[in-house]
Amino acid sequence: MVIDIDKSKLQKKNKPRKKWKIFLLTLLIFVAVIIFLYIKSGYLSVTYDLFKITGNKIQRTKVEQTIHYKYDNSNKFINILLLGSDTDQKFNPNSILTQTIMIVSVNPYQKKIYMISIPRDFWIKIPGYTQNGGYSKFDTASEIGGIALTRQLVEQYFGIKIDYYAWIGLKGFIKLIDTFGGVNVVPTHPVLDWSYPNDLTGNPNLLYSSINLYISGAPQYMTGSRALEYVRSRHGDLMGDFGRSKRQQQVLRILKDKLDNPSTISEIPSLFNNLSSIVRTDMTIPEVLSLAKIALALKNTKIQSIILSPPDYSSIGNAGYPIQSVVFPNWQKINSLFLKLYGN
Amino acid sequence: METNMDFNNRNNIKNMSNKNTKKGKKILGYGVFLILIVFIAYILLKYGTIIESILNPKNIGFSISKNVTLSNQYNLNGRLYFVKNNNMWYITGNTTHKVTNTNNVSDIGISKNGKQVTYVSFHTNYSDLRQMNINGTNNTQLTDWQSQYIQNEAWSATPAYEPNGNYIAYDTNIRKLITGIPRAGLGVWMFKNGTTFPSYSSQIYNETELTIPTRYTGGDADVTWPNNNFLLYTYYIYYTGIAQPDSQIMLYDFNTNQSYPVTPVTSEAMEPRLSPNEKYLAFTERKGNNSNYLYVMKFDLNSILNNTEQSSFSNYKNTLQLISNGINAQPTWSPNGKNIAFIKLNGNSFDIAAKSIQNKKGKLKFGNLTYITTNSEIDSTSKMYWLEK
Repeated sequence: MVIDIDKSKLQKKNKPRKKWKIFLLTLLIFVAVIIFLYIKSGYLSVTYDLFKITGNKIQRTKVEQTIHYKYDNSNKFINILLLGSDTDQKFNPNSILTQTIMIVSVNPYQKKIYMISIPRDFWIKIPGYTQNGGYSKFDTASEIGGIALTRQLVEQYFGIKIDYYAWIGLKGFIKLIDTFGGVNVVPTHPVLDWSYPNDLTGNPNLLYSSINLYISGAPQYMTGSRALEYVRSRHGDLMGDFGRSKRQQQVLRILKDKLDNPSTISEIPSLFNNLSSIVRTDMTIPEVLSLAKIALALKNTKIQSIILSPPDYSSIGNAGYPIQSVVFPNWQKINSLFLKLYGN
Repeated sequence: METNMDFNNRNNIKNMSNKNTKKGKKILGYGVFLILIVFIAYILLKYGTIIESILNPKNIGFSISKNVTLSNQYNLNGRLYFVKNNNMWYITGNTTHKVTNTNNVSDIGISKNGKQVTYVSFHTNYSDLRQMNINGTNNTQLTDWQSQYIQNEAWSATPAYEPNGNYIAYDTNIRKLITGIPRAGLGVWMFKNGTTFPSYSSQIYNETELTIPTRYTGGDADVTWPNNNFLLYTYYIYYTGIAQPDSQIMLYDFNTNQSYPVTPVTSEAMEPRLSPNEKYLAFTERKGNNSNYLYVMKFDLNSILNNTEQSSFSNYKNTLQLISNGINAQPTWSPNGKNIAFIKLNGNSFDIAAKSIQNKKGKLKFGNLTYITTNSEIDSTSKMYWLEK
């Protein structure tokens, strides 16, 4: 009898301990599984960071909704508008000057990739711009109407539908390159710039100051900061913006080559974590992942790089008041080019 | 007296309160469990990358290795000097030696007798030339380009000694101070070895300008001085387009004070290095979007000076391909001319590689590619020098 009582007491005492043991064990297993899954796939981090970068939809303007896209084949391409901006500190956050305007078109069926740089000094009519009879440089569009107006004008002038945009700032570019471990570059020539913007020091007094820049012409490893100097410098080139467009396309292609390496996928969590506050796109998570898969599938596809530069697609001249150096598009030749690229 | 009913009621209440306590504990337990899960999930999401990098360190971002690692596949005869992390090193046999610890060495130029080094010390806005003994001692500043006005600050690059050691040639954009036009690129200048220049004005008036660069190209580059009578350099000019300049190898002749093309203007050739017997020229050529291949061609000084080379470029047309993939830079001949070392991108690291060269009845045959270093991140913008022991 006594034994029974003791037993029941013991049972009563042991029950909660066992439950806690089970609880702790479950918790430990759960945590271990989560950590294992996280390390193995990086999925959680990717998802979280992608949410911050992606899906930043910008409503299409009324004009955009009525545009007739000229080229039949253009809907077989995924057209992405790449925008690179000047130092954010220099501008109102909603009207940043775009120094780089580029269309990247990918056709997964016909295995074609185009990279087309639009000169920011293209002299075009911009809706809402009141001076110079409504004419200004292309980069004015982002200043007065943001990404929506820039996208609208690209669609209107070039006759193709822009499916997505991706915007990156200067610091974003540096972080992007650094996250990829830097880039190994064969420079197009030694870069010598006597007036390179010194606007990333964080010191507002230096925002409009400049430095001397020299980059050797020898093949070299570049960190993010060095790569930015390489693609941003324009005074050391005969044609300024066109020269740097060439260098920008070169570095983008090096980055694409890096993405072609499946091992880079493991670095995506870190990549997106680094870029979450400085890169914006309207692509959704599934769209980003689909595009990454397409890029991997088109690993060996040759990229056709085009700069709409003089003398083939434009000419340099002066226009406006006060008078400024601008680039006049040769629409006849540009239209022929786009017909060749996106027509049937 | 306590009745049975009272006792039962009390027991019931006790049981009920026990049940409630158990339920409460259960709910509390689940609550704590849920809060813990949410907390862990939050921590993983917020700081996941940091946790991951601690638990699973990978090559995210860039880290520069501090050491030079030898592949142990190559026993180097002589001494091979190079730059890494802004310090000068050399390899001999199968050992490495770090010569300097000043962290300011780039673009080394070593005298033919192997006793002196002139190098470039880079700063924000300008670079200076410095000189030291081959063992790193007696470090002296040759030029001082620091100024309170950045328009008065200039760049120096790729110094090279005259073979007899009397003069040093190098690239610089000091022409901008003579013309007042800031956009002048780097041109080839020379000065007497042993001279120091305390100010830019003293430098301008005591140096000789050998070449005038094409504007907006960045200028001339890669000066080497293999023979007292001539030097070689890379010349940039806009020829086939305006989005990027073309490059070619040029020879500056001290007898006529003129430059002569060694390769065609469209060749995209650069980094000329003449073999010790002066019969062959090793160089690199830019290919495609981002490649640089390594070549060897016959070198005939007479045909270059008589412009017959210019009219046909027959030697260039018969160029032999040494390496036809990836990124290669800074070729250098072994003292006996039987090997070429060069810097090659190997994965993500620039490493030193070599190939043997055999001359069989006038025909060159190349051996297999061998890496001398691995994962050593060598400075691919600085020349290498292969000296005898």
